[in-house]
Amino acid sequence: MLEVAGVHRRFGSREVLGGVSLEVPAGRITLVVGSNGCGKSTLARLSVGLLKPSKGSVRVGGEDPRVVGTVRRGIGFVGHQSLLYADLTAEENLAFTARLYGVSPAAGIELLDRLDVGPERKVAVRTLSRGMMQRVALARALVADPGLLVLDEPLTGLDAPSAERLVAMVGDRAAAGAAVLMVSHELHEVWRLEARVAVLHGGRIAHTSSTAEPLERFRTTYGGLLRG
Amino acid sequence: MAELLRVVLAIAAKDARVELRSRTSLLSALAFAGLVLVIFNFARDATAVSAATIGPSALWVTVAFAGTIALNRSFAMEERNAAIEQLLLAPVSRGAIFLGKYLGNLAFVLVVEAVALPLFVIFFNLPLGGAIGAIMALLLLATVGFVAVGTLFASFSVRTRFADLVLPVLLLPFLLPPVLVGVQATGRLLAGRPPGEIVGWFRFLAFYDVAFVVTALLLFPSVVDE
Repeated sequence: MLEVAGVHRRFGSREVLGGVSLEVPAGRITLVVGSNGCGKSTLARLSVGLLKPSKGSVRVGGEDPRVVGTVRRGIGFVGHQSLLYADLTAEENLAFTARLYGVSPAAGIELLDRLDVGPERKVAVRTLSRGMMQRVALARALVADPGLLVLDEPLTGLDAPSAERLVAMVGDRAAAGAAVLMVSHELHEVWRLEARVAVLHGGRIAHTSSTAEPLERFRTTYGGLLRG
Repeated sequence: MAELLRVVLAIAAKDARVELRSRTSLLSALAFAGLVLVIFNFARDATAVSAATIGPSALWVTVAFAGTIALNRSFAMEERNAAIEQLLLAPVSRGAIFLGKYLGNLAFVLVVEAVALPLFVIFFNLPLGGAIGAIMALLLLATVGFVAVGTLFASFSVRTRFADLVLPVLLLPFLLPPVLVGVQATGRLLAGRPPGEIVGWFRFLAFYDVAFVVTALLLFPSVVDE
């Protein structure tokens, strides 16, 4: 579904990614972990077409999402920011997203129900808590039932029950056949997913593992890698 | 075509809804327009400068600056929470995004003008008579072009540190042609000159509109995409 091949990305003179290759097949979850500033968010944004690779290619379903607009219909993205209009309500935001994607606004309402966004759906999203806003952001990303879901630090700032609910929903999406690329620091939370794990370090995928490996053992390897 | 229209209208309607929810920009632009007209009216020595002489300049300067205020807010709402990325990620063309934002801005500036024009008539006490239709047509034609340029510039000036300053500085040179033409044509209309004298100005504004709407539409993708 998602193929990242030999991707380099520079910001000015600084090379953030130096030849990253990654595949996320349909129905599978890939977790990307790494230290702050190692390029995880850059990789997530390249994967959805918000950034252009300096070298290499990104393909979603065999097409470049920056070039082929219809490919973007099948991509859901949750970033550091909510991508929501602060002065609109959750319902209005989702209705607008649904119109952009040419799907029924009812799809958005149904997602708000599934994510337990209650009466808060009727107030401007700028007044929502971080956790509630994150649920609405996830609903926005899922409104067109995407085949590729890219989540950049989706658990940051969430309380334990909210994080648990979000992780469960991600697992459900993968079980339903979506390819999921998830960037996260919250290893304890995401380790319950059945996923491949890629450690990004020094601008490259320095280590791969899976959540089948005991978390403590992975932490030891991971820590050693970051130290150097 | 129906798909394009659906997206364009959805974006314009969303902008209108956001604006109606906050009303900050609309009220600011309207207050600004009223204040400029008041200043022009009372700063004038009525014994030395007639209302008919300064009126056209007052009207067009008011419209140009109030319009610039209105355009500033257009992409500010997209920057908050990085909402612009939702548009860029959607399966819609960059052209549709531009046209949606453009339509929203056009409606906004026309609302400001619809309030500014009666205020102008009240403050300057000018007998517009049969000229009112032609003046409205001039305003509409000029607005169609400068809002296109303003929408394009607002899309990248909003990402600069001093967006509120950058947009007017970039936009003013492009506002000069329609404002100069508007002042000249309005002056002639208020002086009761025959309509044939201003046909050329209408043609100029129509050319300005086509040139800048097309140019802005073509340049917009390279401005919003990385």
